[in-house]
Amino acid sequence: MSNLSVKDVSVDYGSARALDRVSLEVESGEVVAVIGPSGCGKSSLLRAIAGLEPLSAGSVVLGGKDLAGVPTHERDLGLMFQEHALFPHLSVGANVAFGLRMQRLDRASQSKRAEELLDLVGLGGFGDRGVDALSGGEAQRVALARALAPSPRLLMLDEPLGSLDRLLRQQLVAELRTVFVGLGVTALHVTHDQAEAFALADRVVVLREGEVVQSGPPAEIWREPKSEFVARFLGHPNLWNLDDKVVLVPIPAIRPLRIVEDVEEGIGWLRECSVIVERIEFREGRFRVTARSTTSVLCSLEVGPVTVVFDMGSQPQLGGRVLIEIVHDRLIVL
Amino acid sequence: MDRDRPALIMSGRKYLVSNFSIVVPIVFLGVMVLWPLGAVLQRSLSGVGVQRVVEIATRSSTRGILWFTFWQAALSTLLTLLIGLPIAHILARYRFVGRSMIRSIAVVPFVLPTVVVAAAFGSLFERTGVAGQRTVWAILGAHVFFNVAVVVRIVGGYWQGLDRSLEDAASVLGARPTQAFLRITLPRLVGVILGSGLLVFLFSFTSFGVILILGGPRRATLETEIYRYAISRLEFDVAAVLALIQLVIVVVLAMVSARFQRSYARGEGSRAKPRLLAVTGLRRRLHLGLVLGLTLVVIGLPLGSLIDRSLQVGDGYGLDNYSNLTEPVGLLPTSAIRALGISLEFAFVAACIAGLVGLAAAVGIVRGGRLGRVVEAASLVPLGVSAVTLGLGYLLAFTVMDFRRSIWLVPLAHEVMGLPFVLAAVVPALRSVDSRLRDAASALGASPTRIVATVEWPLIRKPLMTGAGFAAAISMGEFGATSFVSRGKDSFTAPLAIFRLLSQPGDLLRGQAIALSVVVGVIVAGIAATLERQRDGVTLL
Repeated sequence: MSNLSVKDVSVDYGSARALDRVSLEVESGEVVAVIGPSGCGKSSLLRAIAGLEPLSAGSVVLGGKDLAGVPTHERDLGLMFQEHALFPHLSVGANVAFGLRMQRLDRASQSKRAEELLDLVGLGGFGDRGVDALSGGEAQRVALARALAPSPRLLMLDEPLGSLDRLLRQQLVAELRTVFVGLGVTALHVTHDQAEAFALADRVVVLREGEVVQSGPPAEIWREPKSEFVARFLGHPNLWNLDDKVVLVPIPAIRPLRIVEDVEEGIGWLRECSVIVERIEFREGRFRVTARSTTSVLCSLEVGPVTVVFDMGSQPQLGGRVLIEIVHDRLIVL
Repeated sequence: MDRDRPALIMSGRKYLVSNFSIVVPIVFLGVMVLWPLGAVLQRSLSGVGVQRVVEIATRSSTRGILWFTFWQAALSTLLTLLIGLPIAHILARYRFVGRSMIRSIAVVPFVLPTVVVAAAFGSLFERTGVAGQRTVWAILGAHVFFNVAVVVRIVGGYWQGLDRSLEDAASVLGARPTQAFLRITLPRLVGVILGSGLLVFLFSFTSFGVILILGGPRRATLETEIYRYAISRLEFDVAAVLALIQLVIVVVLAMVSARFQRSYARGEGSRAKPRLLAVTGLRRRLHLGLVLGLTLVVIGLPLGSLIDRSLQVGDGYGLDNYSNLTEPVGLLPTSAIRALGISLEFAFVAACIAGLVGLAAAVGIVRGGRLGRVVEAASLVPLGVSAVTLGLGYLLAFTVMDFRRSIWLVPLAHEVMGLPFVLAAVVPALRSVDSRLRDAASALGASPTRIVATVEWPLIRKPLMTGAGFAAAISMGEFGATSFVSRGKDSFTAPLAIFRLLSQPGDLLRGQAIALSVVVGVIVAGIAATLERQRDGVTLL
């Protein structure tokens, strides 16, 4: 049974349309990530589901029940904000227990559950602290504990890690995944960082200007982007304009055939290096590209306006000649 | 060279400029603020004798006056909060047509002269009030009318800056709107509500014109009693002791209020950019409509009643009250229209002096140092200390060369009242002159003098004009200090004329007083509206 079902939902701010007939489903226990550049309507989608933004059209169904007319506070959802949105006048424990207090749980159960969740996010014993003194990562963990405490039917995360630095973000992504899997949380996660989405989600939905442009498991989306927009947004480097078509050349499709000039052995292995193309030939179903390496770091070669990035395998000498081939049947015409 | 300081101070003739910027305001504030306050203290503390001070302070009439002063101020504050908070709320949270207009309209009462407001409420309660109780209600109404702007602007501004996602978070966690308000929003507003309430209390506590005109002989506060003892009964000792009591209470209140302001200034307000809610759904529309209606009634009714009354002639309507303004009246030393002319002249003079002294003082304050802080503190004194106390101080202090009879004293006193507003406008502007701008100009080859002319002056010119404009508006309506220092027909201002005309029986005089009130009110509101509309200008609150 589908847990959350969003059907043809539109949201307007005045005359500006933020979401245009968006549909998506989230199964029970599934983690779905919605990705898209900023301003694509990701946050509006979550706010619409939460009932914080009125729908102009469409419906939101949760657990088989249409949420139209159900006020936010009766929707039984969890929402994590980018800026934590912790209550500054309440302690860490009181923040976590807020949702339980709203459910009129007795005090003992409230504090017991709050402690459990703080333990779960690695902040055991933080209950009495003020929220001002927390670091960014701690604040986000408290926000997670607070959102999970009332056991919401659906947890929504709005760029939860956007304000953190990269290292902390990677660490928290791993922690979030562990918590989600451990508790069997159904989650809808919104982010502009595709790496975060790929690491966290069972399924990824790409949103562009308020419209869903592709949806599927992370590996599939990465392997087979259906449009230039998706390919670019995911960060595929080799997008070539050939014969009025945009062609995506996946990195594994490019293989160095041989190094034309001799390379000194034993320097070590590098994954990528940078090259300058000297000649491209298309023969017997294969591109043959002759290129010259320039640095020993990135293997990219320029074909007119196009840059090729590929896995070099062995390290060529600087200025050395490289011949690569591109496996034709692995090209994706977008 | 100190990079953070304006070239205005660090220019080639830096000693001359910096000394000028400190000496002028210090001499000015010393003579016009500290000396008169000192005279009040001296008279009450050493001139009267401790026994008599205690006797005056504890006599039953004083206790009765104190009691009334306190409870009317407390009740005014409560009512102001009761009406101001809902208005602050809709302005802080909702997006609706006319929002900025309502914001501006809500401030109009604050700039109106006290005598005009008193005239408005007098005319309103003339017909509607319950006899006996009506004076008190008129007083409370006038105070609410005045101070609603304080609550709307201070609380509303802070509220608008509060991150709304906290309320969203509470709502998602299952809090009903009222619960989210009580548990999440209200606790964060308590500081600013108390702070603004304290300010309203302070203003109501030191309210003078309103109570003198509406209270009649039976309803007196410390302020009106100081006036009565000093002007009508010439018992300066009693007046000075009452002023001392007033001073002590005001200083304590101002100190507590300053603490509150610091605490809520440190709070979370104004960090998030305001996201306003669309007004959807019947409940919200109803709520908005109700509060807007309340706003219009609270602000519009008294003004409408004032204008309506000014047009009433006998049993009909006409412009006679206005045309009568040019006629000499036996009761006044001069015609009402001449008083208006004097007020305009004084306003111009006061604005010019306030602008010049304010500019010098602002430079001195920004320059920092101990003297700068002294200037800043001294310039703020007239905001807290009542105009009546200052007026009494002038009478007691300026006995030398009989300066207290000089007509110059009136615009000078007005200038002192306007100075804080000039500083409120200019000091932040001067502080905000980015040192990088100066460095850039200097790197491009501008001399310090050129920097002043091309970088700093253009940036502070507008705030300076705004501040001076407010000083003019304040001068136009100033009543408290003027009522002490005005002498004869050459310093007889329009607010004095309004007061004199209102305090006499007779429909004709009353009509004239109200017509004159409308004229003064329109002028002052016009000045304020012009200044308010300047985008990068500074607002009064």
